[in-house]
Formats: sequence, C-alpha cells, structure tokens
Amino acid sequence: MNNSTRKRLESLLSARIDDELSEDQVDELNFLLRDDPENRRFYLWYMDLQSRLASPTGEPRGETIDWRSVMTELASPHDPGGIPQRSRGEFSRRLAKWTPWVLAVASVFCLIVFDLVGRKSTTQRIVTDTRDDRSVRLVSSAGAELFNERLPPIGGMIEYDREYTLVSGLLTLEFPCGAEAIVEAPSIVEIVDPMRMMVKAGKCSLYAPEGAEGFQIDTPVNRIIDRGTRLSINVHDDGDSEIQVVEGFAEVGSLDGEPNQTTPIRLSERDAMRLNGSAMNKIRFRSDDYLAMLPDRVIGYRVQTPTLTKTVLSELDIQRDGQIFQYNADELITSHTIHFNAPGDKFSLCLTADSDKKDLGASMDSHLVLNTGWINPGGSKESLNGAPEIAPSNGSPKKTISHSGTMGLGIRFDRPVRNGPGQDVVLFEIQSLIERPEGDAFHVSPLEWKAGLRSRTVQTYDLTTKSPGVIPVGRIKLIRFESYLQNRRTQLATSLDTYAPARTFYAIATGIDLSDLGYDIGDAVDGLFFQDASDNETQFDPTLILGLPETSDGDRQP
Amino acid sequence: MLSSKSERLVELLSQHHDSLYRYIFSLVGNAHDARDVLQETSFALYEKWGQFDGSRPFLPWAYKFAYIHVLKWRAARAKQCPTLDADVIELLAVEREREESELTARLTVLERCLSQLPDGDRELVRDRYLRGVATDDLVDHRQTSRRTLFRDLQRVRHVLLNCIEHKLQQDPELA
Repeated sequence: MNNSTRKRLESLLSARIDDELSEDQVDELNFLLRDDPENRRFYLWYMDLQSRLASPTGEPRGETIDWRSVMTELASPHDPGGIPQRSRGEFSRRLAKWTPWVLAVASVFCLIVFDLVGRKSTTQRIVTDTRDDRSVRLVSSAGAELFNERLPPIGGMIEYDREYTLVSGLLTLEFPCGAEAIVEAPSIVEIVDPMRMMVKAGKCSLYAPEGAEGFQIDTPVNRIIDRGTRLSINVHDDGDSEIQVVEGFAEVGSLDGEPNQTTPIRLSERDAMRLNGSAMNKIRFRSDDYLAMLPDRVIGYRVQTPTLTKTVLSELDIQRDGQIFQYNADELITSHTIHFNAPGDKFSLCLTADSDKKDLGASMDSHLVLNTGWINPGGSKESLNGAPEIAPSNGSPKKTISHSGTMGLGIRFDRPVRNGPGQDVVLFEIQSLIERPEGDAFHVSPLEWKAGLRSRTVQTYDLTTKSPGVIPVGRIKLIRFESYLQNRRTQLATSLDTYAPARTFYAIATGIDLSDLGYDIGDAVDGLFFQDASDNETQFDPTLILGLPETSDGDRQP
Repeated sequence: MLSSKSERLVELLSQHHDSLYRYIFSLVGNAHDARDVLQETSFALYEKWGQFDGSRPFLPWAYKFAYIHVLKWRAARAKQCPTLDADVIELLAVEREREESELTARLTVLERCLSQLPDGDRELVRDRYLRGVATDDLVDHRQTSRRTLFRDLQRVRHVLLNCIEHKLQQDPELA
C-alpha cells in the first residue's frame, strides 16, 4: 500500500468511526476495500485499534461482561438447556434491561484502566484545552505537485518540521490562527509551528486576518512578522527576498545577527522592500505579486458509483470568476456528438465494460457517464483558424457520426451555453497512470465561426491524475472500426476489434472559458470543436463535455 | 440455576466475548451498533446452543452467527444511510478470520502505546469513546471545531498505529 492510499484510508476510516462518511466516501471506501487485500488488512488493523479504544468491556481480561447473570436472566423463569420458548421481543427487552448495567460497570472499569495506564493522573472532567489544535491543513490546490510524494488530500494535514517542495501549481495552507498562505511553484516551504512558516525558496502570498496578527514568515536570512495584513514574499535562489505589503502592516528583521541587534523595520500598505539579512532596500511596489486566491478551475467532482462499470457524475465543484460553485450534475448542460473523424488505427469508442456492443446507440446514449465517449479524435499541431468542415449529417444529426471532414470531434450542447465570467464548459477525459498526468493536450475551437473568434489550446488540465480526489472510472472496453460508416447503428457490422484494458483509468477534468475563444459575455454558444493537439503519440480521450448554467448567487457554495 | 450446557456457553462467552466484540466492531464500525449486534448474536447463540459441537472450536462457530447479524444490521442501516456493501463486508469477514492472530498480537502492543500517549490525547479518546461525550459537547468544551476534533481523533489513531508498527519492527517476536 502506498503512502497516499494509506492516508486516504485513515481519513475515510476515521470518518466511518465518527459516522461522518458521505455517500461518495462510502463508495470510495467500498472500492478501496474491494480492490486490494492489503487495504482490507489495514482496515482491520484500524478498526481493531478503535474497537479497543471504544470497548465497553475493556481490559484486562476477566473483568468482562457477567455472562452468567445475563444467561440466568435470559433463561428465567425456566432454563430447559435448549431453545427458549419466549419471543424475540421479550428476549430483547430482557437484554435491554441488562445492557445498561453491564455497560455502566464496564465503562467505569475502562475509565479506571485508562487512568492507570496514564503517566500521571488526569482530571475526570472535560477540560478546555486547545493545545492540540495545531493542525495546518491543505485547503485548496490548483495543478499542485510535490516533489517525490503525492499531495495530501484537501483538508489533510501538513506536517511540521518537514520540507515540502512544490514543483508545479499552487496550493493554499490554512493555519490554526486563521492565516492563509498561497504557495506558488517552484517553492520550498516548511511549517515550523502554528504561527510560523519558513519559505526557503519561492513565492508565497499571506493573508493574516484578525486573530492571526503576529504570524511569522522566515526566509533563510530574514523574519517577517505579520501585523494583520496581506503581503507577498518572494525568496530568490541567492537568499535575496522581496516583500510587498498590499494591506495592513508588517515588520521585517534580520536573522543573520545576534538577537535584537537590529531593530525591525515597519512596513505599511504599498511598501515594498528587497531583503538580504540586515541589508534592506526599498523597491517599487507591485500589487500583482500578491495572489488573493487560486485561479478559476475545476476543483473536484463526485460520482454516483465509482466502482464496477458505469461511473456517473453526480456533482461538480468549480471556481468561476473567483466564486466557488457546486452543481448537481443534472443542472449541467449535456452535449451530443455531431461529428467524429480520426485516424483509422486508433480505438474510437469507449464503452463501459458491461455495455451491449450490439446496441451501440443505447450504449452511447448514457447520461452523464464518465467512461463512455468517442475517444482519440484526430487533430493537428496547429489549431483551427476557421470553421471546421462538418460532414453531412444524413438527416439525423443526433444519431449520426460522420467520418469525413475535419479531423476532430464536434459536439453540440443540448441547449445553448451562455458565456459568463470565468469558466463556462467542463471537459472530462479518462487517463491512466502510465499516460501524461497533466492530461492529453487538445485544441478547442468554435463550431461556427464569426469575426473575432479563435481557437485555444489546453495543455494542462485543472484536475490531473496527480490531483487529490480524482476518481477511477469503472472498467471499460474500447472498440476500433474497420471502416467508418455514416450511421452509428450500422457500425456493428464493421467492428474490427474490441479490447478491454486491464489498467485503471481516472476521470480528469478541465474548465474552458468561452471568452478565451473570443466570445463576448452573454453570447450563446451552441457547440464546440475539439482536436487532439498532436503533440505526442497519445491522443486525447474526452468522455464527457458539459456546459455550465448561467451563474446566480443561489448556486454559490456557502 | 443454569443447565450444564448453558454453563458451558457462559464459560465460552466469558472467555471469548472480547474477540466476538472486536469481530463485530470491525464489520460495523462503531461501538453502539457493535453492542446491538453482539446482543443479537448472543441471543442467536443461546437459541442454537443445542447445535454446537463441543469437539470443535467455539469462536468460528460464533463468528458465523455474528456475521449473519452484521448482515442483518447492514440491511437495516442501508435503508437509512450509506454503508459498506455486503460483498465488501464478506471480504473483510474472511480476511479477519485469517488475520486473527496478528490482530491479537497488535493489540497486545497497543497497551504499551496507550501508556505513551500524551495526557491530552488520552483524555480526548476517553471523553469521546469511553464516556461517549457527544461530539457537539466536546466541540463546545474544547472550544474547537468539529473538523479539528475529528482530525485530532484521527491523529491519535495515527500515532497509535505508528507506535504499534514501530514496536513490532523493533521486536518481531511480538507479532
């Protein structure tokens, strides 16, 4: 079991013990336990540990439930030595009468045991004690990747006195005092204590709200004390660092001399300084150094059934124009394929393993399924700069896949998607762990062109196979056709090859801002055209393309 | 006065109740439900005691009844909230019987690890799981958030697991 699986299991099992498991988490736990005997062993260790912590019967052995009294009570008024003649209800009532007494005795005994094993006597009352409330948590990430280790899950703990090297993306850390630090790659940071972090290299934006005054950031040679502010710090390779105070106050001092040798310098709003130990020089203030939030992105998603075959999207979390939205899948605007053209040697169709290849129409009509779709569409290195050639639709656009015209995949939304601020469309792709973690690059273009429109190339997805929370999809089978036909329902006759990959695929996702394609805010968009970016041997495997509804305050996540 | 056969059941339950409780707990995941299932299981054992073959070990026989009652519990619970699938519970039950001796060895080591817990952690575990203090009450009294509380409980278990593994690595004969 790798470290990340173990951490994930610990988190899920802890939630199970405290009865906090969501439906999706139960599904995930089912999957992990079904998947690997090692996971099951770990589960059993964990639960056995908890059974002892929660045991009403306690230790040592011998001081246990008085079964004799119980059985005597159960057997009365007669004990034939065989099956009692009373009803189950009566029996249960008798047990219910017995249970509190036994548990009370046992619990008292357990308390004594706990105190005995303690190093010293502890109080018997609940005490107000926040000494242990020291956890620093990862609260969000965007394309973040750590050197040589997986990112903790969102909400997971960041360990103290341990160096974290962020090699790509951004992440947000939350401290017990309420301070939030956004770390940008490449960076090396270490949490020293609940009120202090060290930025050994790289860039960090810090927000210290009321209650977090006094939070410290150490660079290799300087200390910055936040007095309630928003500031950014950028530590260069040579030890130089730059501080930009966007709001509030901060004090900067040197770490390279004797304590108190130098007086801290106070910086206020719009002050900026280059620091190298006691050498401190004012520089021009740049407000854009400070990052107030992570960029718009697909934050996460949940599915109805992550196991077996069909994996159906149930919810989507996305940041649009700085606001976080949570959508139920049925609020999203579905799409259908109207054009598909691809090289003939690739598998073209991805179906769930249990789908009926004799009825491709029904198999492809799966609603919100993450592991069904037309994959490996053709493409080119250069993106389109004009309308794609869509092959004739044979009179039934929804049911027709054409195999001439421009290489790529054309989709039409089931109702128009209106361009709003931030991301408007979400694309899911399936990717295995032996493929490019960032996702397969693709071009996205307008389906219908007008002046001012353009294509955009997506190189890196918001959620990659390295992102916490990406979900493995159910088993799939791939179909390759001998020749392309006009109508989907007749493709069976030319089916050349079916392949059921043994490896696991994960649903990764990225958002698309229609403004990037040149659309104006408020424009209604009927469809889009996608092409593989032809940047490597593998082609991209889109399975689900959804439009987002127009934003309204009611959708926003509290 | 119990019959001699029932006396034997009392003796075996007294001897093995801890294993039976742990077995049930591992499949249902919380103390309250584990106690209920143990109660139902003891009823079934009493009912079927006449069928027990005294020449065979008691625990595997008792586990079968416990397993059936765990599945009944699961069926009832699944109507109210999501829980582990039945096939997963079956896999766990099979695995647990295989792992019985190792689990017991680990628990022996746990006693040493418990004694090394900081007072605050031990008190937290005691309040939550032995005294059964409600989560909201603990949150109020500790002036913390639910999330932090659960995270602290998870951290304590993490520390104990690591301690057990460390001790077993240091002294493999314990396993």
